[in-house]
Amino acid sequence: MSELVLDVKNLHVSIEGSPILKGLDLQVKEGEVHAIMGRNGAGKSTLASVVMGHPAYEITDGEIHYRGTDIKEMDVFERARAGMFLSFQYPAAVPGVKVGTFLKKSTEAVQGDNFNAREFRSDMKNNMSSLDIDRSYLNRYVNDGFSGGEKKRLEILQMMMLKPKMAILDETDSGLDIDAMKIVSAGVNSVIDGSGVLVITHYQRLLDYIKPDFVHVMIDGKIVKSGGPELALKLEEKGYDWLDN
Amino acid sequence: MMYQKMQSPPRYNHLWKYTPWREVSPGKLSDKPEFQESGLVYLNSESEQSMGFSVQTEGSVPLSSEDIARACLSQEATKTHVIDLNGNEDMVNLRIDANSEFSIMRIHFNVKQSSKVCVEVVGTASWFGLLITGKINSNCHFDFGYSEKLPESSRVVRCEDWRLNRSSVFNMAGLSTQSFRRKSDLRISLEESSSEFYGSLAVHGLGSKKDDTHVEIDHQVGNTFSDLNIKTACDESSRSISTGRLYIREGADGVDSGQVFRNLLLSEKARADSIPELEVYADDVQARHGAASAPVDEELIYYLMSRGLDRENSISTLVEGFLADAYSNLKSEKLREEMRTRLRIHLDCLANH
Repeated sequence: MSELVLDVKNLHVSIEGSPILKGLDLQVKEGEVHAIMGRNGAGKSTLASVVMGHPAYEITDGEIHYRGTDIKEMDVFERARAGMFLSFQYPAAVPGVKVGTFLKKSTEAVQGDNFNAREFRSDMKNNMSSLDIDRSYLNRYVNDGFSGGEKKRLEILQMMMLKPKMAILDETDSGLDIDAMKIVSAGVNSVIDGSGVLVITHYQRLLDYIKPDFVHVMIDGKIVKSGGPELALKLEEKGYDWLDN
Repeated sequence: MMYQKMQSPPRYNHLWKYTPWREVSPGKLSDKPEFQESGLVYLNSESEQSMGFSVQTEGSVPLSSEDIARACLSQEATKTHVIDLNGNEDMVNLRIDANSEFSIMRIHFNVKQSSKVCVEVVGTASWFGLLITGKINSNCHFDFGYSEKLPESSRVVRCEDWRLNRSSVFNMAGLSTQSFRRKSDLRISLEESSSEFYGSLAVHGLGSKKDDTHVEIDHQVGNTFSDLNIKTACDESSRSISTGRLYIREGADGVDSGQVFRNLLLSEKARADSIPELEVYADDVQARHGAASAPVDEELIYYLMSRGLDRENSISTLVEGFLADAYSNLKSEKLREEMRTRLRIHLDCLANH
């Protein structure tokens, strides 16, 4: 039986006193891909940030369990070291910090005593090759001067290096052309086995490449409908209005 | 005039406005400390000759400077190390051993061919004074790096005067990491056309350190270029002051110059002042300047923490990146990498302290 990786129950979240999530429930098991769709402002990115532990958000009610452990009090880096990963919608630029250095630092931090330099180099080479990333990236500063597509590739490269048990992809498809989307999706698919994946997207086309087991629709801070991949096709055709009531 | 008889510079003298002489002077103004010459050690395994390096010592001739720091350093140094540089591809590494309570060193660089030199000051001195003069001859490229490993309670006075001849290129990099009080007064004269100066300084402030760096760039003739980049990261209750005096003389048309100061404030008590000072007497010139101070970006910390780095390590990584970027404008890959390595070692030492 697959392990329950992420278990969100009745989650209520506010930022600066304004409620954003209003009783959200979600369960993701190992090997499952869940897609979350919804209008702008529905709270999708807030969900991703809260699960990863962003300090600006206040959990006013509800629970978040990761692999059976309540993580509400865990710091962001502890969640990352426990195997959680968030691919950012807008990855931050870190001037002066080279990609190669950053990848090594983060992999060392997450893997701890299990870090093996030779394995790291081999993984990096293979993962960069599969994402069609040139080696010259390693000497560039993290996301500094990167195009939208380059940033997203780097996010997925980091995910592949860190081998998370729970990966959250926040609009990873934005800024990607069709070819890049195929490459990035292949990278995501390579980590699904043994991990739970939560894909936040506006467009059904990403789900042609990353096949979801479940599709959820968020409206006003709650999941109002769940279904299989056919739900994404229906949303593409009909939009969200039919779900308003 | 003996510097002890000179009047302490008044606060309206812009050079000593932020750090009065008494804060960095060797002892009280009335004192006559026992100065000791510091040792100069050549570190490369190759012979000095093969590295195009030679050094001789001669008596120190006092400068007829009205500046009290230069007067002090040139009067108290008993000798000048005259270093001839006859060309090298690899970096010449020099160490200055400053182990006496009041340590002093005077060096003159005569850059005859394109060369690279990195200096590191180490030791236990409670006060260290350094006077460097240098002439970069026509068509020569000179890369010069400077850093210190002195006690956290030390006081440092560093004065440098460089003259650039026709079509010479001077890359100057500095890393200021320790010492309790430090005053640097670095002056660069672009004396002949097509000479270029690239200055990159990184300052890491900790504890109650105060770092006052003054860089004076004098475009004496037209068609000369200068680019100054100073980055400061101040933590705890440290303070930094950076002044960049850009002087473009009358008739020096075609000068292209710029200076940028950026400060990262890592605590509420930290303070950084950046003061560009432009005096432009020519018409057809470019003189860019900019200054910015900001606290560390919490979103960046969050991003790094989401990759498994704890908060302390995230901030340290951001500081390293921020300061390492100070060296981006250098036109020498070797010097850039050398300074970044020194910065990394400094931060690693702090992390393991």
